[in-house]
Amino acid sequence: MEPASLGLNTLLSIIILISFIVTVVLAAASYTAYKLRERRRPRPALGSEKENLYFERYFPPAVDDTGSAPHT
Amino acid sequence: MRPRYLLVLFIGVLVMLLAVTAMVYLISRIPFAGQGLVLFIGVTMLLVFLVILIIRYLSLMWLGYLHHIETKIVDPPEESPYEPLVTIIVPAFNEEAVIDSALQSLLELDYPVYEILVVDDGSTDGTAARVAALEGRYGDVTIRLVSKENGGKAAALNTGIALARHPFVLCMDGDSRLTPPTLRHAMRHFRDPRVAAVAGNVKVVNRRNLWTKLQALEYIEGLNMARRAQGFLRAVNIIPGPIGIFRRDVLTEVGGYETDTFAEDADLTLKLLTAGYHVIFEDQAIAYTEAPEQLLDLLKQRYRWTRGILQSLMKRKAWLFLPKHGAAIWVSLLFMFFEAILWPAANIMGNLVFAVAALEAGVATYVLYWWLLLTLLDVTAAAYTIAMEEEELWLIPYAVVYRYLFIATIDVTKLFATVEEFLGVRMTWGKLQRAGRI
Repeated sequence: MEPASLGLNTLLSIIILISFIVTVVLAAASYTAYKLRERRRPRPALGSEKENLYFERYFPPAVDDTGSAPHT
Repeated sequence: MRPRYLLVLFIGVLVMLLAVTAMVYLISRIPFAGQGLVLFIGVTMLLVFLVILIIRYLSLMWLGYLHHIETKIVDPPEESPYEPLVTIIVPAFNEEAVIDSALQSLLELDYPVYEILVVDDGSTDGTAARVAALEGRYGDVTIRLVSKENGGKAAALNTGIALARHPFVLCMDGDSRLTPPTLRHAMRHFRDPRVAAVAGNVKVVNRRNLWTKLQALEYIEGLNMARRAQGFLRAVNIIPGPIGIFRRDVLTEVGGYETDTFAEDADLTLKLLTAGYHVIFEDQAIAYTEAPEQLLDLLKQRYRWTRGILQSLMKRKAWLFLPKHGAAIWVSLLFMFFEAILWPAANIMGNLVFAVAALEAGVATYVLYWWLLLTLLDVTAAAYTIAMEEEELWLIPYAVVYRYLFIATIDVTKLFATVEEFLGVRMTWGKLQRAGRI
């Protein structure tokens, strides 16, 4: 009985290990596919780019709190 | 809390403690002698991983439970109504498919007086026309439309903050839907003048395929469990984009949203925390959001989140090394750093190295036991958090594939994103495809 039980456990362990490795490999492949898709995406012409990396910092002007409910 | 959820909560804690005990016992039984360096390294990594995992789970669950006691029993919402005027800011860029239902849900909020300010961020579809058709007064609620040139979500929110008429603002996504009691539950926390913001509870609305169901579980087990614990410390480190409520004067004081990172919500939250304000979590302020349905869209979202969080953290790296303004904020920042960088690497490497080493050393059965116990731990954590939120119990079985399929897939992208961020690889914002499920 002992060797059969051990064999099953080992088999399941190997299945788990292979599944995990396959998941990691597929995840890496999916990441590559995502990067390729992004690279193929049409980009706006240089100088008219809407998706800038860095915009100017914006400071909202202070506005009076008229009309606010009183704090209780 | 309803009895069946209490039962799940109790059983969950018991099973988790048993699983942890069994894991420690299992590792102590691994025969080191004569098995070589590889197994030693594998087991050492696994031990480190296990210790971190246990500390993480137990501390989050304990603090989360304290948060639950505090907000539901010590200070129940029905005993502390607080209803100041609120402006709800809805930034919208090409949200034609979902903007109608989003506004409809906002009109149904259970709150006396508020305004809805839609900031059309240069949409090229029919978003502005649809909102313009709804502009006007609905009893004590007003809908206003502001159109501006496209400049990104942060700039749209800043415009909304500047034009808001009320002292409190709720910032959300154009594709989110709020539940009616959201404002009533969230606003009571602002009686404390130290509270600058309240982070709401984001839930996945389109639970249609494996990926979105796993994301629904992740929002409950992964994101909200941490947010609940941080809420008890008054130091939530990311106010989610789909729902955050703020004092407008504090936003003005700290300079509003900044546009030099790809996670403007995380960046703003860190600004508030490092300015000494409290940020708390309200699990009854619920926003439903549409999660990416395709794997590549999901990876795109997580790639942006990871790089954005790293950018926000790097702006304040000095805070990571010194607890300048209290332990709670420091712990919250360290937790953010840990979740963004250390945890994904530990999760993948720990499991891989141990499994390979165990097979090589002829103790492969330990891989099976390890997997069973780890899965048991995840299932009980899922049961615990689902019971806490009184969510759908059918999500619990998805915890079986949560770590080894979902988290592993996400963690690979996080690792790549981290490497690319430190290499300075260029990235753009982009926009996720929405199916209009809301």
